[in-house]
Amino acid sequence: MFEKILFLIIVYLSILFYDVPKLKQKNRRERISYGMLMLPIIYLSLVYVMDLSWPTLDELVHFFFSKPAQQIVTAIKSTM
Amino acid sequence: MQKKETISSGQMAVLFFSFMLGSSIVNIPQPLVQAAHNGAWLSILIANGFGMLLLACILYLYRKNPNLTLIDYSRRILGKWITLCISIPIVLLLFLILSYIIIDIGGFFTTTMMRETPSYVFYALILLVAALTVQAGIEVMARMFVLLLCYSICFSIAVLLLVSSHYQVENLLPIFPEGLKPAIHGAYMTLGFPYGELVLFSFLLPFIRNEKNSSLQKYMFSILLIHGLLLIISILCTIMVLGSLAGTFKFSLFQLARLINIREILTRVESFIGIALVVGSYMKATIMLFILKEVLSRVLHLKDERILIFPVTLISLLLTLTMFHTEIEFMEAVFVVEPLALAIVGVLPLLFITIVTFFRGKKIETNNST
Repeated sequence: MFEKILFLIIVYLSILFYDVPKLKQKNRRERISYGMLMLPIIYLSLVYVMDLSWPTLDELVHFFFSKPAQQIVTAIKSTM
Repeated sequence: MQKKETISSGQMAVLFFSFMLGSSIVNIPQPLVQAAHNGAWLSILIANGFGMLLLACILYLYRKNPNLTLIDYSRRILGKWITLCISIPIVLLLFLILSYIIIDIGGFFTTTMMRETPSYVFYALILLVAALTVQAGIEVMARMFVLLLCYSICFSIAVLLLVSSHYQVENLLPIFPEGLKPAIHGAYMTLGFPYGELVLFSFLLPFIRNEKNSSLQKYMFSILLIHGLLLIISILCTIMVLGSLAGTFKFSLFQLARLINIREILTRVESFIGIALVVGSYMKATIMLFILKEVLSRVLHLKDERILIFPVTLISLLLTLTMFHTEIEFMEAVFVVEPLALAIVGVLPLLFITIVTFFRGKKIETNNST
């Protein structure tokens, strides 16, 4: 866990040092967009560091497409 | 306000080749032979035909109005809110595909070359280099990828030539041991990676400089043909060398390169094909990141889209670290789920917009000019 936290701190700090001075010169819309992108970053960081079994993007795609995709593959294999 | 970057149609063709070839020449043969056996080449032919259809649609839309992307067309035809419903799944899919590319290359390193190093090191470094390249812009990408693409293709072909002493043509028979079913299954697998992903490339076309565009179509179709040919050749060579084991060994070209031993002088050339795989994946990841940045900035109506590059890269990094626990889950996601997801999220809107534009083409052009 310590290794993961250290790794994320290095990545976070590098990005913030690079982006924050630039963000100050940007308009409101760009700052809000940047802030919105921070939400999934915080969520995924928690999942990564604490090894949580919370849903990620892959689960969302699986929820919608996995069963029909499996059915298509089974159908291709069996019907022809 | 930054000056809009533009590249020539020849450079766009190079980017297209990098995008299509990427890591597919090393990654595709094994799962495809596993599914379609000796008929894997037919799967590529079918999927390549499908790719041609998608490319024809993309180029038709581009010809109608070179400045519009799929999202702009959708905004004009379907309105703001439906476009938002189309754009969000495309953005999510782009995140997903970018993460798949990075997971694949990390998996390659940790299973073949550097087994002791934790995978997050590879993920972070490749994404960092990709992000810095995207920051440099499409002109730099187009110029740099010419060299990297040449390296990738030359070493892949060199390996196929040097391993020719191991070829056993009889391994290619019987061509369809279990009928056509496995070949159709193989075609379904490649409808996602790499051919379905072609839809996403359409977001780069507005970067082409205003010139006589007659050569663009020629370039793009030729490249799709050459790409299909290269994949078929690598599949056939893999089957000829490894026979029934071709569906077992991952990273087929890498395994072929391991067999090269010419008089104890030319040996251990697999590292070159390893570099080709890394380079291919890096190019594809960079282009995908660039597209993701473009799509996001169009959806959010941003003036300076470069500010999004690093947060988007960090999201992708965290997705690669949290998404899959086993190799089987990853393979199922790429070859079973992704083709359908891409078909619904990317291909269907493209086909719909193409059909609508075909019937209302003049109106859309007029709207743009006003």
